[in-house]
Amino acid sequence: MTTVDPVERLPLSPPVFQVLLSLCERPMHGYAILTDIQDRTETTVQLGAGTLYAAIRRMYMAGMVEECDPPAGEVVTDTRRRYYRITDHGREIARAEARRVLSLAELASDRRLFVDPAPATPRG
Amino acid sequence: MNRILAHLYSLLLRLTAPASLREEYGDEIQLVFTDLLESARHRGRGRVLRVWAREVSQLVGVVRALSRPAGGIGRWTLAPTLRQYVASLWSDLRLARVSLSRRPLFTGSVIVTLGVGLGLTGAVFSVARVSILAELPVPEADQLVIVTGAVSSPEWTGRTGLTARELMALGETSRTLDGLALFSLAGNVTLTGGTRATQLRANFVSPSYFELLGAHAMLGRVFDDSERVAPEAARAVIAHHTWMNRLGGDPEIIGRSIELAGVDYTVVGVMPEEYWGLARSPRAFDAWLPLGRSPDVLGASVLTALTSGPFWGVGRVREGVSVEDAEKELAALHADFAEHHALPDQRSVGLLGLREYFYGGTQRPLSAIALGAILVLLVCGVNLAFLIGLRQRGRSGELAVRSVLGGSGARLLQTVLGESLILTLGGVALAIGLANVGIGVFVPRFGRSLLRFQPVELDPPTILAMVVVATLLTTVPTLVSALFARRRQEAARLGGDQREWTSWVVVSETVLAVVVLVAATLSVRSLRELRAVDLGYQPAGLQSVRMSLVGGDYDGDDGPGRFVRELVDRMSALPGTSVGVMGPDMMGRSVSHVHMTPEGLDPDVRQNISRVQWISLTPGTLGTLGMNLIEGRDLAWSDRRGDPTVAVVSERTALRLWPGESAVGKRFHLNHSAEARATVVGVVRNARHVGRYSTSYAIGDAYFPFQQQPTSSVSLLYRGSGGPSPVTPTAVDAVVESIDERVALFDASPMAVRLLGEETGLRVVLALSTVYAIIAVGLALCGIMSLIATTVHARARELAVRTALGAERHVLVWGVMRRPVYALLFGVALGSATAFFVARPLSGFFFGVSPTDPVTYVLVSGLVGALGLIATWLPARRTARIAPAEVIRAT
Repeated sequence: MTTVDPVERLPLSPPVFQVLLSLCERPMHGYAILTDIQDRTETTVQLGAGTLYAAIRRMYMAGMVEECDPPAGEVVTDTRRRYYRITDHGREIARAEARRVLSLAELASDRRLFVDPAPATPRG
Repeated sequence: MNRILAHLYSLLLRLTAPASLREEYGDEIQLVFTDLLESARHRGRGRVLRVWAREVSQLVGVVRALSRPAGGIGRWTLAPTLRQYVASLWSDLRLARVSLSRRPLFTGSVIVTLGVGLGLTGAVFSVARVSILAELPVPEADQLVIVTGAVSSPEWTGRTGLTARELMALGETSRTLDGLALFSLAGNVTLTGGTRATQLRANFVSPSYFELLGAHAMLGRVFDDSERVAPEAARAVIAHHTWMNRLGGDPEIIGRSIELAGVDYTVVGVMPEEYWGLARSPRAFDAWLPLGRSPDVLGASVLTALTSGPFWGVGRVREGVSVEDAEKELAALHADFAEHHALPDQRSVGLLGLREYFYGGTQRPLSAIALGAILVLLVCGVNLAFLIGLRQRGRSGELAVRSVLGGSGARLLQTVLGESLILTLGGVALAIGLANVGIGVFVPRFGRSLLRFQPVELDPPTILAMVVVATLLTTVPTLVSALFARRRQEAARLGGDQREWTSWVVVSETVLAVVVLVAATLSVRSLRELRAVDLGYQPAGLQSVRMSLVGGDYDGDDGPGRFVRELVDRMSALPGTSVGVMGPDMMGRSVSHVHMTPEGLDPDVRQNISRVQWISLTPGTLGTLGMNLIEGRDLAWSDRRGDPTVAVVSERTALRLWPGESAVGKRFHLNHSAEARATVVGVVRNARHVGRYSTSYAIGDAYFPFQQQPTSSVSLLYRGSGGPSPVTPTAVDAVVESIDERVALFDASPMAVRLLGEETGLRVVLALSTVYAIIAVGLALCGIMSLIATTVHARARELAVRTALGAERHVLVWGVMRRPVYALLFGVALGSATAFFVARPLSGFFFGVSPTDPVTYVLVSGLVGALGLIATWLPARRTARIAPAEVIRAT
């Protein structure tokens, strides 16, 4: 088990964070992760198969995800599909990343980033 | 399509992804990729391609990201920026440039091989492309056909002219053709009105000719219904170059009169500059005249005679009717016509599509030339594979070090392909230069006779094809070498070597060299055979000039005879000159015939009638030509007009009409005459008046006194009594002008030069096949020499050890040579067999020599075998010079 402080992993790359967010809900196989990300983000984030598994490999090596059995009741159509679930460490990292993003968003809000600037008035 | 895209993705994954990712997740990546494609399939092909492109680009990005030393999950940038990618590519290219500049021999060999092979192929395909793909200058050309006579017999096969009566009858009765227009194969008229008469090449055409071809005049009009109403009205449509060069580009030309053959023709139209009509070479026709006026020039009976046919037809096939069906119908109609009019032979009717009409004679030589270019390119390909394979083997150590230092497969591949890219660019640049030089040399020499309407240039599609082929020729051997590098290392570890591989290189190079050399040898022998053909007369030193005696004083039957008699008398008065006049033209496009029936046989029964080539001569012409009289007497001035017709016949005619007996004194029916009043007075040797290459389908020749059978188109023939003629063309022109200034001379040239025109096609094939043969054999020998030298180098240690152990040197040399020599001999045998099958369909190109001629095969096999043995022995003998101590110490 890894002993790395979750904060040291931050910031996460968008693909890694997206995969963790998908796996937070339930264990999934690769294609299900991709379609979940696409549905959630309304196709603004589209990961490729190569990107997904490169991310999974790195997360697996960092102890953030692990293989698991298919969820109960799910019909397995192809035995080559492996299912992945988020580990506690992965969940902690995802939570830390979410906090980081949230704090950034709050900071942006304080700096009135989300408010349209007032139109400039000509100096008399 | 999905399956192909999945395979490509799988290949890319295998080639580029790091082993750790591929082995652990490769199946799943492929599975998910297939799912994505499947889901995209329902949204259209465009969507599938977009998904594929996205997946491939992401895969490449991932691979590059993973190839860097691992960082934290967070700091891992997914894909390099474009700038980083370009920077690494640029770095690899610089490295490749430095690496190649340190190996000038390898770099030069690859670039020259690539440049020569691609340059030659590019030039040849640029020429072939014009012939095969050029747009025909006729709208709706697919529906138009040329109607010709067709003869297919054991003695003669080919196309002939048809008579106007035959064509008119076919046009009136055919149900498969929607219109049939006639056009003449020849027609020279004299344009008078300037300081000196000049010759115009006229094409006599039916009123519907222009309408069928969809042609419109630039000024005025083309022939139309007005010519149907008044078919004999003297009206002319002139070519643009005639209007500009002969008539001063007069803008008021329409309605003006010009005097052609003594008749005032009204110019009704000027055709556009680019309009050629049915001419097969530029500016072949100067004017188009109504068919109704053709008797002025082609003979009074040209529209009614059934003997000689100086016309072809152009017709439009009705919609829904195939050309084959139309040809069958016309052949049946013609058979009825021939039976009804007792035509003597089995001449039928054939149809030609317009493309075949314009390019039929050129496509076969061009196909052979293109085939030769492909063979040379294959030789180049084998050499390149060999050279690049060697280079990659030499780089295996360097690549292994880079791999150990963390270089990914993709990065190493990029490094290796950097060299290929530079070599490709160098080779293509050289090829473009050589192709342009080749086109510049080839087209002016031979192009006019092979190409028609479009200029030949190295166009962008051809350059693109050259780039693609060059890329394949350089990258495929590189990729194959990289892919099989591991297998090769294992083979080497197990004590194996590359002997099988090298043997196949020798075999393939030898096969290609033999095939190309056989073609070149057959071409050389064909040309020699062609030049050795006995013409039956002596062309050396013989001068010829043509003239047309039409109109005015020549309309009567005595006119041409009087002019010719005076011409011969005045020319004979020139010192040391032998003179003769022959009509119609010698080696002209149109051959004239008479029908002869021996006395005692019914001249109206087809089987009794023989078609004989008709030639009119002045007395002494046979002597001027150098033709030997075998029996009887020559024609004489005493054989006058109004006397019973006399003739000198060729040996072949005599043999066919009066077999086993002397022809002299025999009488015959001339052109179905009721009484056999014509008499044979002499027999002369056979001659080929149409040319060496071409023959007439008549059974033989018959020579008549010019006074008795005058023609409007004649050739003046003259030569010096004891050598070259001292008479210049200017002197001849002065003599003719002094007799009649309205007679124009044209086509003045030595007979030997006119005969050269026949050789053009063969000379093209010969010139190119010689170039091919030199390149192919040279490359093959260089390839074999390099191969043996490499083998000796690679086995230096083994050979040194064996030398040190006392092995005899000649045994070692033979040991190195043995397999290549066996491969060489096998290659020669296989090459001969391949050439045998390749050459057989090309038999039409060769003259007087069989494409399976055993002497050629023995010569070529012996030559390639001997050169191959020398190329093998030269590097192999280095084995004998190996100093064991030095080699073993060095290794």
